[in-house]
Amino acid sequence: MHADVRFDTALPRLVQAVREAVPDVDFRDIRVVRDMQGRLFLVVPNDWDTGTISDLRQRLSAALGPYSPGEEAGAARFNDVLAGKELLAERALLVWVDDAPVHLIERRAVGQDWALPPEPASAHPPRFVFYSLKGGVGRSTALMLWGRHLAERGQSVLLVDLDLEAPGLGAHLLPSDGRPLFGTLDWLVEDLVGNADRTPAADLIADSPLSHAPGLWVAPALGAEAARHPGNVLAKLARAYLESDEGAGFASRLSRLICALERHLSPDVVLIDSRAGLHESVAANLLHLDAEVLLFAVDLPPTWEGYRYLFGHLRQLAPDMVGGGGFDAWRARLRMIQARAAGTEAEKRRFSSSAFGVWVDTLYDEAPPDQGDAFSFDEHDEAAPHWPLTILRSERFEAFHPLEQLADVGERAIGEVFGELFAGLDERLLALKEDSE
Amino acid sequence: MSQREFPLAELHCAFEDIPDEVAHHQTEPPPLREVYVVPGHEKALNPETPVVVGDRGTGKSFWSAALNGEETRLLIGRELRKLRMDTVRVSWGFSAATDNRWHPSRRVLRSLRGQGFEAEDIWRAVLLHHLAGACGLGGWPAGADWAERVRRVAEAPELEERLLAEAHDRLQRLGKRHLFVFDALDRLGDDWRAIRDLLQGLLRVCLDLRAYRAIRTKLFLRPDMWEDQAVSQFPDASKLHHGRVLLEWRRVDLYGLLWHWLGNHPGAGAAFRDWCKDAHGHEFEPIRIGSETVYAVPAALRTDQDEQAKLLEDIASRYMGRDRRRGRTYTWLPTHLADAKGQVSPRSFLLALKHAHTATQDRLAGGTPLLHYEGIKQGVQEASRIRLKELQEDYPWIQQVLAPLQGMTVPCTAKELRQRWHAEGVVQAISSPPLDNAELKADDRAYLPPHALEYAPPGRSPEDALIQAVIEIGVLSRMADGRLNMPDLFRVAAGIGRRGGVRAIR
Repeated sequence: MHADVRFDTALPRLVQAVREAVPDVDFRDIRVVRDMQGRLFLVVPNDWDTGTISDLRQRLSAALGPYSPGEEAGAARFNDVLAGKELLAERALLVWVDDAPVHLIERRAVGQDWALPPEPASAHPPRFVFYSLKGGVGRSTALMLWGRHLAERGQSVLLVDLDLEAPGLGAHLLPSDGRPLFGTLDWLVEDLVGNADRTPAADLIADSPLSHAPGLWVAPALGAEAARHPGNVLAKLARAYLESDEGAGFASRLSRLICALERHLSPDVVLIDSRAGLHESVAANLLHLDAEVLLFAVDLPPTWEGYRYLFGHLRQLAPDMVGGGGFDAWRARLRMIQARAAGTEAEKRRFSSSAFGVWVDTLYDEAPPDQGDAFSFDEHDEAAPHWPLTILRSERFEAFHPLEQLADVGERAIGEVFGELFAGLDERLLALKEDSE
Repeated sequence: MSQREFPLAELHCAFEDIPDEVAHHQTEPPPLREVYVVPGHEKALNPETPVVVGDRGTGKSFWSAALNGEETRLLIGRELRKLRMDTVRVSWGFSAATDNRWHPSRRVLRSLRGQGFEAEDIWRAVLLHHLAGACGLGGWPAGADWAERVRRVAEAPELEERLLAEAHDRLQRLGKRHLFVFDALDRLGDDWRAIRDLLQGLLRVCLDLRAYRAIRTKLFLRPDMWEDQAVSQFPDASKLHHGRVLLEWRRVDLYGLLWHWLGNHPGAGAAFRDWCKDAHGHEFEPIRIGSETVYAVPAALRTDQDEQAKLLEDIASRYMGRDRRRGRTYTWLPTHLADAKGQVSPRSFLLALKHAHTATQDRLAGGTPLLHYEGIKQGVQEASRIRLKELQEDYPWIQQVLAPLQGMTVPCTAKELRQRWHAEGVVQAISSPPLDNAELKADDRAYLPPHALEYAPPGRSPEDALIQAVIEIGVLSRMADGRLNMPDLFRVAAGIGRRGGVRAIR
């Protein structure tokens, strides 16, 4: 009976059904395809006999109910499906159902980038993605002020606004008569119709007066043209994340945009303001930009619940992870940022304990007693990605408009609130530059 | 400027000479050159601080003995001038000593209580005995035994109070303070009931004497004894609570101790001090005490993390791997030696370095760095075994508590711990002394089970009380999400794994 099959229980039921039909099954030899609606389809080795397959189909249909594509279609050999043996080489998530490593191929209507491991990237300047699970934690403020901090120390810095639904960098950092013609959203829309070449990087970037030294460059989400056509912005948003005609997904289109900006400007460092939450577009920022990823958080239950969902998905990418240095290197590039902190040591230890609780269940490797080389850290290890850099809570930076209020706030206040973050990020930036030399 | 050679050969000796013995036990003052006056311990050493709480190995006995020694006290006074040690006389109020010269021993205390003497009278007799001698007071039975002295206090409270007031007046006229140091208080009795009774009496006396400003008392206490609610259930106990100081070793204090060791080593000291001066611009200050010279670690190398890290990089790998992502050695070392409360024992820190040095030499003899990250990892593992042994001296039940946990993974739930302990009958086993514990018999102490087991509130299982006891001694921590974690320091030695969300396929 399949009275109570749900999305969450469908895969375990499939595993159980397969085990019953083929007790000595090796799950590494088979693939499960989850279609756009969430139905599960099994692809098995060519040497499985017809009797076994028809037995499997019946069992799967009974076990999966609404999550089965039907008794005639639930299972097939590699030779009998369109993709054939190539399916085995296709990127899959690794989902453990008890001790069965299930290779799951995701067919999604949206958010396909979440199921793809990152590609190796060609050389580019250090990139830092600023991400938060929820808004209102001071993520953009931290990005703007660190960008300014770097520019005033002689670096050429590019700030990119990818918070397309809630753009902020343009309005915060550029006077209304100092905007570039277009924004990153415009480029993404033009790119869909093959018009990106006519939207050159030079038209997407302007210099911000927030820094006294030159070199604080901003690529806002929207430019001067949007001010003339405000009614079109939502229509553009509806298209921004689509695949191009050639089949390039959002992540790959976004990478091209960032590369184009970097080619034009040759900045020393690129800071990217990501959208908050678990939106489909976030995958590109966290996985596919070959960036250091700063994960902003306040120590509250909703934050950790959200990060648990996020990391719980990302851990499934593990086996196929590529890119600079593999999965370990990718995980080591994540770093928690403790926002709105009171600044006590006890509070920081509590934060690291909360973060550790999530990391240890998701993105850390299982570590045997002798430690070995597992990617795993202890609860209060300052080198761990879950150990935070801390930003203090301060009213001065609430509803903060830097262009107007920076002079009132003063350098000392910035140092007090953001000092630890800047020092930690400066160190990491330096390390990245040393590594690339 | 001529480039000085890094004193490699000398430092080899200095690391090899780090002593292996587990801790300072005697009431003898430590050798002068081994006394590093820790900046963070100023409050603990202050004669005005009545209660100092410290874990096993944080230096309770060390400082007790150093305060009691003439020269070592002088050294403390030279470095911490605000404490005005020159005006202080010190006596033992209690210690591990059993010669009954300064105070009754555990066995004598048992006998005194058997004769029906009150704890308060016992302690008043101890104080008065010293004061009478030091201040030359008449009327005190100095030549008698402890039973006779205590009887005098019990039977003649008026005499006792008069003598006390007289001693106080004389001390004040001389501008002196008399400090009584109480250490090894877990040796007061054979069981928790006796210890609690004597400790509570002592605390009452200390509180009563607060008004005599020239008579000071200082108790060095284990955290589990201090947390024991049953001890402090009397009026005004909270006054002592407010004044209590924790004996902790911050990261800078640990490294300061290392520089002190290297800078005062008979063979390597001069070369190391010259190196610090020439390569880093930090000069050790010579302090002459009697016929000896102690070299005080320069301020920047005591308190400045950046300066300490720079100096460490001359000696040790900068990062804990070829990959900087494993962290800087400077922070990695104390982090990986920390217990669940974040505390590091100085002994395990120095021993980790000693073993790191040996392990490094085994791998790449004669080369640099002196301490390679692989060697440091080995050193930390060795230190974790030593730390467990250290703990075991105070908490002899700890091995029985950890043994059934082998093979499990942390973080875990309380339920998992309860089940494993229950299956092995751990609570029953540790509630009474083990019959065949040779190590314990060699020690002059009675077996004490976790005190929380005796006072488990109704409705709480003994296993839950045991969890609480293990948390109090820093072997487990309760995480923000309620699960229990064991720091690497103990986890690795106990054969426990750490859970993870990522598994490799076979």
